[in-house]
Amino acid sequence: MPVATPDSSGVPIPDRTPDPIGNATAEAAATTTADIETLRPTNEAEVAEALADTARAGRTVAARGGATRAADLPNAAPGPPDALLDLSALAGVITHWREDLTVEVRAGTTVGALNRVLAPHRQFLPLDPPFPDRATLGGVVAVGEPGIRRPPGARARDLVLGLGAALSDGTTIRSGGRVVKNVTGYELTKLFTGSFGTLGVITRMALRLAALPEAARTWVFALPAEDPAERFAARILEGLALAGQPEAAALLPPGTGLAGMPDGGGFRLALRFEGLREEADRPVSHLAEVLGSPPEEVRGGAAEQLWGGVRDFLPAVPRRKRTESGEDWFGVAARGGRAATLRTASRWAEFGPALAFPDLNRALAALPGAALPNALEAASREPGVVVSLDSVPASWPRPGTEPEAEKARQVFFPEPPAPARALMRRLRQGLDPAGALPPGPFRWLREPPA
Amino acid sequence: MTSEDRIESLARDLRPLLGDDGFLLRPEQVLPYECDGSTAFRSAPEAVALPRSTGETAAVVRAAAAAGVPFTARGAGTGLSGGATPLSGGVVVSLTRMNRILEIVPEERLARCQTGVVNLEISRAAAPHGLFFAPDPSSQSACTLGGNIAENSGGPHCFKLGSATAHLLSVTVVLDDGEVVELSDRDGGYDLAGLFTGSEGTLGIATEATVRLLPLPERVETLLAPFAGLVPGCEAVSRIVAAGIVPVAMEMLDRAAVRVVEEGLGAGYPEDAGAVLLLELDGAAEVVERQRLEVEGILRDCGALEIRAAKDAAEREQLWRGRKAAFGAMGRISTDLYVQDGVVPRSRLPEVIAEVERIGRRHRLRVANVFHAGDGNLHPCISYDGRDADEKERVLAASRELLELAVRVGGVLSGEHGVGIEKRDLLPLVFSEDDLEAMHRVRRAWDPEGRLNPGKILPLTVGCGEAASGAPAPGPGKVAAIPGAWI
Repeated sequence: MPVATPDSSGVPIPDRTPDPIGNATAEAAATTTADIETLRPTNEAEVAEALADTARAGRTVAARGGATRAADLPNAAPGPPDALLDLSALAGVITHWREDLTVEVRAGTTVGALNRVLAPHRQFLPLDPPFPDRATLGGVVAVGEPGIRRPPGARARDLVLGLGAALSDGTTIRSGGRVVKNVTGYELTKLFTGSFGTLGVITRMALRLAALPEAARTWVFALPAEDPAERFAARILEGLALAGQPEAAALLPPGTGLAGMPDGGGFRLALRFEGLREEADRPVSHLAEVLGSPPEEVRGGAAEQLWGGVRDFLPAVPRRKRTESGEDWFGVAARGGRAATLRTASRWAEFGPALAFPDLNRALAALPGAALPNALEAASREPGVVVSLDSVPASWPRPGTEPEAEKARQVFFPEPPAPARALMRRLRQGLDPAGALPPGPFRWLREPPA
Repeated sequence: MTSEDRIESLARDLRPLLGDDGFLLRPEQVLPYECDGSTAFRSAPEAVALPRSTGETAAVVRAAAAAGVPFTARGAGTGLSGGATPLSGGVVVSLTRMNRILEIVPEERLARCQTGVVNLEISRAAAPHGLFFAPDPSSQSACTLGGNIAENSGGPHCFKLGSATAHLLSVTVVLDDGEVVELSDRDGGYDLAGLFTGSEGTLGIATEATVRLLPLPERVETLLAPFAGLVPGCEAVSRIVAAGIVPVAMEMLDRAAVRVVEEGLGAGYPEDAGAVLLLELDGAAEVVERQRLEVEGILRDCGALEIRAAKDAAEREQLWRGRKAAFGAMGRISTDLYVQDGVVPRSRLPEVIAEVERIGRRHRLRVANVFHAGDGNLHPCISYDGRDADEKERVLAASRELLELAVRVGGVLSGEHGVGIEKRDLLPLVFSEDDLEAMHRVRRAWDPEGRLNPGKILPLTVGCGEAASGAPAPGPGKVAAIPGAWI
């Protein structure tokens, strides 16, 4: 059931949108992990026990939430774990402190389920991971899902106030707290957020919430198709400077067939204003002049579909392209400066649908395998832009292409500088000395400490 | 080699690089570095190094590491938990000569700075571009960016805009052995910049940082609302947040604090009020206008005695002057001031504030409250005479009770001032032995020899690297976790 609010225009992001790929995620995950032993702990102590048992036996174990990413990344880090830890039984809200706008949840709770508990109190979690009805909060925090909202609610790390985790030595630890401001002890909460389960298994977390907006409006502006990358980026930034503070700003690609998006050739800039009625109703006519196109309002269900499509773009579009073409398509992300990521998106659009979030310094694209070298070259023209691979075909690497695949891994899972890598290895060795937790996409963790 | 010989040898090595005025040895030169803003803890360093660049900082650290001398980084020394106090002596690495803003990139809304730059200077330099740097501790006209990163500093406006960690994009760090690393949120792997922020100089020394700048708001409204007491004021704060309004700041002062501020500098606060709420809204003009109407309604409902709005920038500055200078004003009425920094869930503020008053009375102490009401960050200020041993005892006992109170209602020991020396041995109130052991392991991964700012943050345990470095023994004995703690 979708998040219910008295005013449907106030729903920030629909909880359930038409899934552009049906159940492809779950199916793909099942095929890759069918042969692996799966442990199903029902509480935190059992998680710790399972980890300790696995470590003692010299085996490896990886936690799994809703498996919304499982289909994207397993082949990117060679070697499956010996066992999987299915956390779906660790679900539910532990405490909702309504007046404080904070909540403590178990790691297996899905984002959609949490928002359904919060909606009657006109609150929500201001983070929009793909596939919210399957994505678990433990998984979202473990991968550091960036979401599509502008800061401060843009990154998982800004919303996680504290967490509990089980370590491979069988202990359980807590960090942070449940208050919104805290400098008590080391920030293990931020260390664990985005660590891909390589340090410990997150079992519960305290999260910061927001009040549901009173209203929301979505505007779409067409952009001249012929703009070169430089002018394209400058025009968008000039427009955004006039836009005030949109709650989400996305540069939408041509040719994705995203539901709810007006049809047509070129890029479009979509802005969502939400909050009090006055915030949502900010006039946008002045933007039209700079952007060279009249504003088009997308309403109701169409707006929900549009933002749902934006939210699910990276996992969904490469998969759909694979199905349609029978070829390998990849999901690629770039991080960098605002103008630099906009220019990168503009160049990537030559190869496949590309999306950008200027306020979040990110660009995403779905690209055919053959275009990867050119796409990387295009990104390398922008100083400070870092590219990473976010979604790979289940069939990748194809037999006989392992050397190329290894090269692609090195390019697209960028290694941090050497001293940072050494620190990361020492941190992992400190918290998981047995090496029971697989390094996931962090290849460099496999190297022995210097 | 004696400690003195080691320092002499360091001086010989480093003076050619830093200049004579860049490596201080004489007692009268190093004495000012014996403490930070938390004057209850004092320990003079053996030497003070004043590097001018990342390279020079690395050279100082390499030399100190080779000589086996501990070192403690220091910004402006405005910290309030003893973070910059060199507990084990050794070398203080003062970053005050590294005060350059290297670059402002308006289109990317970022600034790259050396970390010795004063907080307010960043906003001043960004203002011509319509931008500002959000963290605004009360000491922002003196405190440095490096100190803000080390403590994860906040300030009144972090309620809406986030503490230092939310605004740090990358940071250049000199590690324990002098190696230099850039920690950036763009790199893959762990969020090392997030872990580093708030680590109080125990994981490395930040020398340069790229920070996010925000656009100056189109409209700002600053309101002052006196109440009969703190309880109705706190009630108003809770109701404003529950209504979905996020003011950029909500600051509360109790009667005692208002009186001290008025006697000290006359900010125009009503002295007969039981409490004063200072509230600021920012954003687009029409939005701020609507929020103001809603906020005024809630304030009246909750019993505001009047609502005063700043008519212009000068009046706004006047209203803020009282809040920002409150600690300084309290310093004038007694020889010593103890400022607490516990955080409680916002909804528990009324009962906590009442209990704070009872604790003060029980220990016969003058407690004034100035606090960030929006995020439940308390700052009970206890004025006392440090020469009066009995009074000092009572201050320490009361402050312990105040922190236990915060933890008991689901809060934590520190919101923005840091653990430092002050709260180090109280960490077991909120963390178990396993939690602390995990933190020790994290620290050892960065600084296995325990040379970086020894004796801070973590309670000292037998067998850990720090115990061997000669840091002082722990203060109070065994501390047990408090029932009701969130953790």
